[in-house]
Amino acid sequence: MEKALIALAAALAVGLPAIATAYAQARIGSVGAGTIAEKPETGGIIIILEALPETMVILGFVVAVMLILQFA
Amino acid sequence: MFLKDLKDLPENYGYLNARLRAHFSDFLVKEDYRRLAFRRLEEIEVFLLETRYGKSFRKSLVEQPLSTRRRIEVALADTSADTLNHARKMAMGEPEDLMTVLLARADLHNGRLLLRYYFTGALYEGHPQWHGYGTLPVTFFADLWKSHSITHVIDKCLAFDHQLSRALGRACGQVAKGSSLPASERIFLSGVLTYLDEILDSHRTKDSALVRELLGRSIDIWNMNIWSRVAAGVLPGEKAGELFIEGGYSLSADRLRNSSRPEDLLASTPWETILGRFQGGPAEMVTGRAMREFWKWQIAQRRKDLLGIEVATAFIAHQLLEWQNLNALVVGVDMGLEVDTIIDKLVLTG
Repeated sequence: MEKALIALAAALAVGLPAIATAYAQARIGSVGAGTIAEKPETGGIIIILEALPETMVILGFVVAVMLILQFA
Repeated sequence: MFLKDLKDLPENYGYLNARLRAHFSDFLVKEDYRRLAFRRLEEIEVFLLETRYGKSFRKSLVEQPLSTRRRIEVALADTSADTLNHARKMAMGEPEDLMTVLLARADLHNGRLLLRYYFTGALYEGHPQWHGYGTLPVTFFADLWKSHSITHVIDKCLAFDHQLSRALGRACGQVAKGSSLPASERIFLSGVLTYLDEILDSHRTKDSALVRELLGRSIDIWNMNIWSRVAAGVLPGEKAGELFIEGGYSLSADRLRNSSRPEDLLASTPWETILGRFQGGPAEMVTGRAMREFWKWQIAQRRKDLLGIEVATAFIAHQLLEWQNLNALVVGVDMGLEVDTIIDKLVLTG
């Protein structure tokens, strides 16, 4: 039972930030595509902006790994 | 099915608005107008040649010999239509539908030109500068203009089989029956509004609500125009009742019928701000002042919601206002008016 709860916590730690990241990237992506279409020189900045929300998932993944290593 | 789902995504606004916002820097600013007002017509043309209007200038230089003023007018009209049509092509799903509604003012403008032409007996030999960014093609209006017979125009409107052309056909029918020009225009405007309402009915969002508000404000301006004609004694009061259009944003039918002064009409409405500039001026000035406020309201939408129809609303208004301002400026310079008089005629924002 305890292991199942830990697994669930780890899944949530990755899953919820992943949804939030997807939401943010969808919006940044569409706006970024529009911006690059008009000003191609902004491509580098847009890629950085598009990648920023990824940190949420990475942090979530780290938390999930810590949960599993600590308690499982 | 997948593509149908994509059409409803809010990201459509993000893409469109990013592209539109990149073009806001192309518009002329107050200082440009002030500088141009001091120049001669040829100097204005040279200035415009270096801007996005240059492409159209070069085209008209090669294709047809025109006077400098006419060349500028053609370049302004062509470039404005190209810009707005291009903007609509960038939209998809709801933004595309809402932009169709916003750009229907071209059909309204063209239709009213045509109604006036046939109302006055189709005597004018030249052809007008059509607004080429609406739903109905410019070639349709140009063909109607050349018909020279109101009966042929009605037949062609009905044969074209579009809700807007049928509305124009009904309005032309009124002209043929000998109705007044405002009554005929009212029929056309009502037909256009019915068509636009049907488009808006398929979108129940805060963005479609904004476009509805814009249409409501346009109706207010039509009603103010009728009201000011009554106040000026040009139109009998008893006829005005049937010329008002229901569904305005803030001016109710009762208020329009029972107000005799601009203060009574506009107090406690969003149009109240224009009262301060009246200072006891004639009632006929109401419409002109309201139109200025309407432009400013549209342009002020620019930063209200960067992921909504507000950006497109402001973009369209910016483009049309620039066209109107440059036209006024060119006419003023060509007529040799004082700089201050010219600047006073322009609607400068930002």
